[in-house]
Formats: sequence, C-alpha cells, structure tokens
Amino acid sequence: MTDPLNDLFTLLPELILVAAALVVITVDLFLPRGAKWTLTPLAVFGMLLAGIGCALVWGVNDTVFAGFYVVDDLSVFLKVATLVIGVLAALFAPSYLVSRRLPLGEFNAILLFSLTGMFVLASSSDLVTMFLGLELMVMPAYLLTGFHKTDRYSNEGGLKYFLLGSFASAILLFGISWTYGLTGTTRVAEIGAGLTGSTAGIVALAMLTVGATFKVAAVPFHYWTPDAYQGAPTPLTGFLSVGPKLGAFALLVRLFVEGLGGDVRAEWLVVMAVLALLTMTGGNVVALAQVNVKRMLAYSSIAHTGYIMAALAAFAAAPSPAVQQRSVEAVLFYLLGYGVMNIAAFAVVGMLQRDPRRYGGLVSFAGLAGRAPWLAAAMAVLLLSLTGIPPTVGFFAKLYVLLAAVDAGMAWLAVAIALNAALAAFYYLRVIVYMYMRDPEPEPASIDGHPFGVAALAMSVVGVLALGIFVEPVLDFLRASAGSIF
Amino acid sequence: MLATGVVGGGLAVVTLRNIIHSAIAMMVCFGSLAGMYLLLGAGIVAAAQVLIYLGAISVLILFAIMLTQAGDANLPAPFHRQVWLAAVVTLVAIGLIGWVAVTTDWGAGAQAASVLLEELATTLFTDFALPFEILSLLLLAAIIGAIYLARRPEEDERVN
Repeated sequence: MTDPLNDLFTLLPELILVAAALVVITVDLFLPRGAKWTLTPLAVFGMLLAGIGCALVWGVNDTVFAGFYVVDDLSVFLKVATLVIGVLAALFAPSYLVSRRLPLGEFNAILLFSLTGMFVLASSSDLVTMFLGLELMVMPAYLLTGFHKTDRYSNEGGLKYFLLGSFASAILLFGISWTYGLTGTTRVAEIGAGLTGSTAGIVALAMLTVGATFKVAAVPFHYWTPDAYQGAPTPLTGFLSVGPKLGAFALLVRLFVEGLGGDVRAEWLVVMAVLALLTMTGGNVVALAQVNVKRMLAYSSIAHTGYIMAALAAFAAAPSPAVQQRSVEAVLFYLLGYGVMNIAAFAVVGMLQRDPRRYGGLVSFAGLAGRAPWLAAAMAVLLLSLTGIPPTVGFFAKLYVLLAAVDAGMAWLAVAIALNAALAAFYYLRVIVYMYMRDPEPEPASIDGHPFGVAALAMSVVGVLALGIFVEPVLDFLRASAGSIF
Repeated sequence: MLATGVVGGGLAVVTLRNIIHSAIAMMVCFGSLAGMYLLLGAGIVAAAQVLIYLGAISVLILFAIMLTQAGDANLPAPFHRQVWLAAVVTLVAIGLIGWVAVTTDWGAGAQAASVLLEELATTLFTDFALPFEILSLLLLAAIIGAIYLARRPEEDERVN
C-alpha cells in the first residue's frame, strides 16, 4: 500500500468538488434573498478549481486506495469533459430557475454532487466503487428531474426516472453479485477471465450490460427517457441528457474496455452492435414524429447514444490495439462534443419557455430569426452540429465514429450511421426552417435570457465551432489520455 | 418456510390495498430474509438486517405513513393493466436465472465467508475506506434532495 497522503492527493479534484458543494449549501443559508445569484459563480469557481486539481493529477497513472480507484490520464480526460458540462449546466440553469422561483442553492449543491459521482465513475477500478459512483451520479439526477416540484410533468418524470432507475440499479447490482460469485473478485481488471465460458458468466454479463445501457438510455431500455427529459426543467434536461450519459459511458469504457478480453469481447460485440443499431434507428424514427422540440431533442439524444455505442462495438471488433484505441478515442470525442452541443440546444429551448404554459413546441421557434437573430443563429449552429455538418464538432465526432467502424471491419454499421445521420437531418433542419422561414406567432413569449445563460450559450457556440475547426489540440489530449489504458 | 416469508411478504407489499398492511408485510419479508442470512452462515449481515431494516426502517416507514396519511387509506392498486403479461415475463426470467444458478458450478466463489465482526470492521475502515466515504456522500446528497422535495413550495419562495 502506498503512502496514504499521496493517495489523498490523487483525490484532489473530487475533494474540491465535495468542498464546493458543502460551501454552496452553507453560504446559501446566509445569503439575503437578492444575492442568491452569487451561488452560480461560486459553484462554477469550485468546478474551475477542480479543473486545476485535474491538471495536477495528470500523468499520475496510479492505482490508489487498495485498488479501488485508478487515477490515469483517461480518467483525467473524462473529468475535464465532466467539468465542461458541469460549468455549462450551472450557467444555463438560472435563466429558467430564477423566473420560476426555484432555489439556486439546492440546485448547485445537487449538481456538484452529481459531478462528483461522475468523477468516481471515471476513476473506478472496482465494481464496488463503480456502483457507488453510479448511484452518487443518478440520485441527484432523479432529484433534478423532479426539481420543479409544483409542476405535474416534472413530478411524473422524476418518479418514473427514479422507479425505473432503481430497477436498473438493482439489475446491475445483481449482475455484480453474480460476477463476484463466479470470479471471487470485484476488481474490474480481474473479472474477465472468470466470466468466460459459462452460462452463468453470460447471465452476469447480460445483467451488467442491461444495467449500464439503461443509464445511457439505449433502446430497448429507453422508455423512461422522453418523460423524464420532457418533465425536467429544460436547462436541467440538457444536463440530464449529457451528464449521466457521460458517466454511464465512462462506466462502460471502464468495465468493458478494461475488464473484458478475448472470448467475452466477441460475445459482447454482437450485443453491442445490435443495441447500437436499434438505438440510433429507434431514436431517430420516433424523433421524426415529434412536434415538441424538447421531446424531439430527448429522442434525438437516444439516437446519439446509438452512435457512441457503435464506436464501442467498433472497439470490440477491432483487430489490433491501435484500432481499439482509435475507437475509444471516438467514444471520448463524441461524448465531449455531444455534451456541449446538446446541453446548449436544450438551454435555447428553455429560454423560449418563459411563459410556463409553453412546453417547447415547434411554433415557439417560428420566426425567431426576426425577433432574436443572435439566438436563432446560435440555435442554427447547434442544430447543424447535431446534424453533423462541417465545420462543427458534430461533423468530426460522427466522422471519427465512422472511421472507427470502417477500420474495425464493420462497414454495415458505418452505412447505418450515415443513413441515420441523413434521417436526423430532416428533423433538425425543420427547426431551422421554422426559425428562418415562418412568420412568428401573434404574441410570442419574451426570451428568458439570464446573463449567465447568454454567456454560456456564447461559450458553447464558440466551443462547438472551435472544436470543429481547431480539432488537433483536443485530439492530442485525447490520444494521450486514451493511450493510458492501452 | 423462510423463502415463503420473503416471497409472500414481497408479493403482499405490492398487492395489498391498505398501505399499513403493506408496511407490515414488508416487515415479514425483511424478517424472513434475516433468517435466511443466518442459515447461510452470515450472522453479522443477519444482525444488521434485523437492526436496520426490521428495526429502524420499518418503524420509520410506519411512522411516516401514520403522520402523512389523511382519510381513507385504501388506495387502488396502481399497476394492474398489464399484470398478466408482466407475470409471464417475470416467471420466464425467474425460471431462466434459477436454472442457470442451479446448474452452475460456483466453485471457490461460493464459499460462505464467515467473518468476525472485528475483521469486518478492520476491512471496512482500511481497504474499503474510500467506498465507505463515497457512500456517506451519497447519503448526504440524498438527504439534501429529500429535504428540498419535502419542503413546502412557499418556503422555497421565501428563501430564493
């Protein structure tokens, strides 16, 4: 066992986040009513400090706390992506929460706890820590879904998410207990061999897969998604659609990329490829039929899950370690790019919902270009990025997934992705058509643009373009971090 | 007999119309589970089950029901439309998992680990120190959220 103080040092980013959460909840008690807005910069400051903490543990590449926790460069990348999402989520929230008189203190504290859970997931090298990290991430997510507690849809979404999420956690936990029973260990790196070649191993693997794919909202475990996403306060939906998804993919990468080798991987490949195909097609087809933009984005987020899973399938099929690494890079890059563009797109929907009776229908976008040209332009960039059109990050994200699939010899999957992207273009571009070519409603709602939200929107649009144009530095960071597990 | 208690108790929790009866059925379920742990040689787990679930949680739930319940407690069963389909799917799943569980040679992993309380405590606070701390964070987050959700909306307006 290494020096315990050194172990504590590697936990620096997590410790900072927890401290920030506690500071936020304490300061909240003493702030007068008019000064609550300061909690948002306070939380963001905490996240930036945690970012510095991440920079300090870059290159540590060590397993700490008796093997329960691993601080490698992959985990640092995932944590930085988590923080990007966290900062955007904290900044977007006030434009919706303040006008509905929902408390910022509890929101920021709960958000910080959820981010801590995602950190734990990113660094788990043991099934026990992994499960706890997952729960620490999704428990706040249930709360955020039901955060607007006087709203019927928010309550319904929160309850559904909580109940179904608990069942999925139970299935995952059952899978973990079978795994432990079969292999006598909960170390991720050691379970692969024990699960090979027995029916019970397949059952355990199936339960682990079901539990994990539920959390990323893969078809056919996606039934909670539209209701939870539609019910949650809109900027929080943005966080829910990217944050817990990032965490759950971190779990999948940790569990299946590091834990499983050889025969298990071949069995798992078929499952993953089929799930990816079902997920992207299912999500897109249902999204086509939606006239509510919020619900449409919810279904389209399912489709994006499918693309990321395709990259995981490419990993499982990859013939050489170099191709494997490129697949994992595709997963990571997609998670980061998708995180920024999707959270911002939901935030724009939220900004058009100042009137609480509006639930983000297509008509609220009609003629937006005339009355709010900057907002319309920002949304257009985000939608083009979600479609996957250059020079945005969405294009490169899809490109890397396609390349990974082709390199892995799964050309049919690449074709499926391309077809799906074309299908998705229809419903994304429809919103742009509404914004630029339709006349506005007689009495459109005013725009709910809190200064923090506007700043975050500008940051996201710049980010979406910058990640698309100056992609090389990010890729270097990505290669270095993905390289740490190969 | 214990298994009957667990399964029967569990079924009763979800099917009984009166919520107090459900809570008492849940105690039967928890108690039987404690007995099973004892039979499997996990005395500490059984003790914890009795203390925490049977003692603390059940009493807490009974109190919560009594303090919040207004008027008639006979609620309609919420999930009854697709009950037959669900029953078939569940039975198939149980059959499959049960068959695999019985036919598998569990080998070394299945040895009942009878640990002393002292050893358990040492492991919990050395090797498992980190998971233990994460768990306490999880509880803290859940408590903050629960207080927020349970607070009256008027009080939120006053604090914001």
